[in-house]
Amino acid sequence: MNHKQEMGTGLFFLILSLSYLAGSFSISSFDPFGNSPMTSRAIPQLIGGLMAALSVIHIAGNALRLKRPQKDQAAVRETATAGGRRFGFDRSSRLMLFSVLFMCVYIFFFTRLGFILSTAAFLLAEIFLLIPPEKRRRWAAFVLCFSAGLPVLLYLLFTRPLSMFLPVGLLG
Amino acid sequence: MLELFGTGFAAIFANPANILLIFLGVTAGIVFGALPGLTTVAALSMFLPITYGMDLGISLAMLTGIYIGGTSGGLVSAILLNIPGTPSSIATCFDGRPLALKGQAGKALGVGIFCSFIGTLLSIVAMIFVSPALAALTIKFGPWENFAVTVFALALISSLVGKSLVKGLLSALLGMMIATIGLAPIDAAKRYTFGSIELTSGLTLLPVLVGLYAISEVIASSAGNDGKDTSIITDFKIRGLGFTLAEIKGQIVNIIRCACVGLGIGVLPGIGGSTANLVAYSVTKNASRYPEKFGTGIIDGLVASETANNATIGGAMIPLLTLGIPGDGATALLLGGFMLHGVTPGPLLFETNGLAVYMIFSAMIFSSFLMMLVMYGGMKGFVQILKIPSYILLPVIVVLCIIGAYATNFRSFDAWGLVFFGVVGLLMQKYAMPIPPLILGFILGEPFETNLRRGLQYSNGDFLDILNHPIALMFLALLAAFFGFTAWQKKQREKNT
Repeated sequence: MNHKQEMGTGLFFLILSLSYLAGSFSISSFDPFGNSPMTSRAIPQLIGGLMAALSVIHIAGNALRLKRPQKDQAAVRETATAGGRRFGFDRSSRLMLFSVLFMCVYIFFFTRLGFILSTAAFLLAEIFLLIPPEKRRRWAAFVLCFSAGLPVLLYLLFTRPLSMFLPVGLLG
Repeated sequence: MLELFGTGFAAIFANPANILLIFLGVTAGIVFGALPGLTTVAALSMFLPITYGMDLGISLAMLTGIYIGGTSGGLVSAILLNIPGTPSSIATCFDGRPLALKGQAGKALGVGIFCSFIGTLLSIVAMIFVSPALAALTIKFGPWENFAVTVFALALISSLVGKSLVKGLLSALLGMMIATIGLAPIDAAKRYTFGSIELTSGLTLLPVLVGLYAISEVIASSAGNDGKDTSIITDFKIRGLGFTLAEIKGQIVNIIRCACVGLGIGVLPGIGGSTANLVAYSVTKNASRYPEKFGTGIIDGLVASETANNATIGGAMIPLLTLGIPGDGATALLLGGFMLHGVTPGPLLFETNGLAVYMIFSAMIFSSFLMMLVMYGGMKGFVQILKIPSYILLPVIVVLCIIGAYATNFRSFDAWGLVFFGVVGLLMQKYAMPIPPLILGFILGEPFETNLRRGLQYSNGDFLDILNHPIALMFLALLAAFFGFTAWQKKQREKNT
């Protein structure tokens, strides 16, 4: 990660901590015996204050490094991505984005459609999303059977021997 | 102690279903450990909901079986595919793969399995002897001592994980921030609930943990691997144990040294096997008379990596059982396993659930032997499993994680939380923010607040009362010494460059 990105991270935490600190003032302060050295507000204020201070240190530290001579900058650029995972907005990013979207849709319909139907739909969609395009046709029959069969198997496993409740939805 | 052990073993062997469940746990752990991209944490997340209907003892026995199997399974793909199945087996690739390419895959696997077994066993023995003694000491802790321990653990994990201390501390504070959502301890004041009934009870550990560790990994893995070309070696045979007695005799000192490294690193919160295998490898290389041969396919490096990563298991269990502080992601999920059954690990665990604790100890010993047998006997099968495509496995993991989150309180809110924290975990990876401090901050946020406020109440608001508590002072002094040493080391490094 480069210093500008690091400063952005610091800025995010600074805004978060300041919002958190502001929110702490609406916490009711309860002192029933007149002897509470610390109320329920104190810890959020401590956490918010510390986070704000650390964010400022992080931003300032990276701003100073940004001003260093060009030689250091080149070295930084060389190791720019050493610390974090790289995600560009290519096919990989699209896959991740759609995976999250499918999960959200799955949870939305989890109780509405019921476990079996929503899970079958999710498995079908997610496997077809992740499978390499050239293999889709060859695997289609297997994926259909797998997506239809596994939710039933899981439902029976969790509700019968493990006595767990799972939403029945439309099939109930 | 022996009597309790006898009862623990009897509780396991009295019911064949228990043996079957532990066997299932160990095997599933090995499979998940062996499959690149899937970790022990993902296996534990998947199996956690299955333990709902079980007794505490057997559910934890099964989960620790997964933990042991998962930590050991990473060596299979490290040696045969040149991809570490888990971060704990990174250093296994260094000498394991070259050995396999020389046509000695059977020997590499044999040495790896045997050292994983020895490392696990030695750390379990250490855990068995240290844990009860430590629990007997920590039971005497008051609020100031507990407060100092939480500060020590939080600061230590923030500085040891990741490359930046500031980012580690920010991550820990973010975890503590999330922990403040809901009703405050002591006076139950509402905090950051935004009028939501669901938020009033606070966020549950399981969705936060599984979201940050498992879902974020699944989302990242769904994008595919980094294009590294790897070919699986299937043509191998393990004769006997895979190595000669003379070969392993020459490694005894190495085994003991690396088990100590693993155990020590395991006890420290947050670092675990992923660091232990690399540290042990470099320690062994530095101590070797032929360091130039490392990386060319010698068993010394393999022994170091596999002994140390498995030795972290017992080490990480010590703070979990005695202080309720998880040593790594896997033990954080084991903590979730305890909590699902309404039990909080800590010094009182040995008093209130003594049988369950010794059942866990017994199951861990049994799991170690089982792990060795399953890995030696089922190696050809694991090789076949390595061929299962990730596009089939990943959606199934998501489904099981969502079942687990939903079953926590039988509401969709926790499943939403799972996805939310999955995305948070992914963003944290992208911006190189360490996740373990956030988890520990979330877990220790509440005890930090409760103990600080109680301590201040007992001392009429005088914070300096902490100076009258030598154990609390010792922890704070240790922390100050650690930070001092780290700063000195950094200065020395800067001077040398």
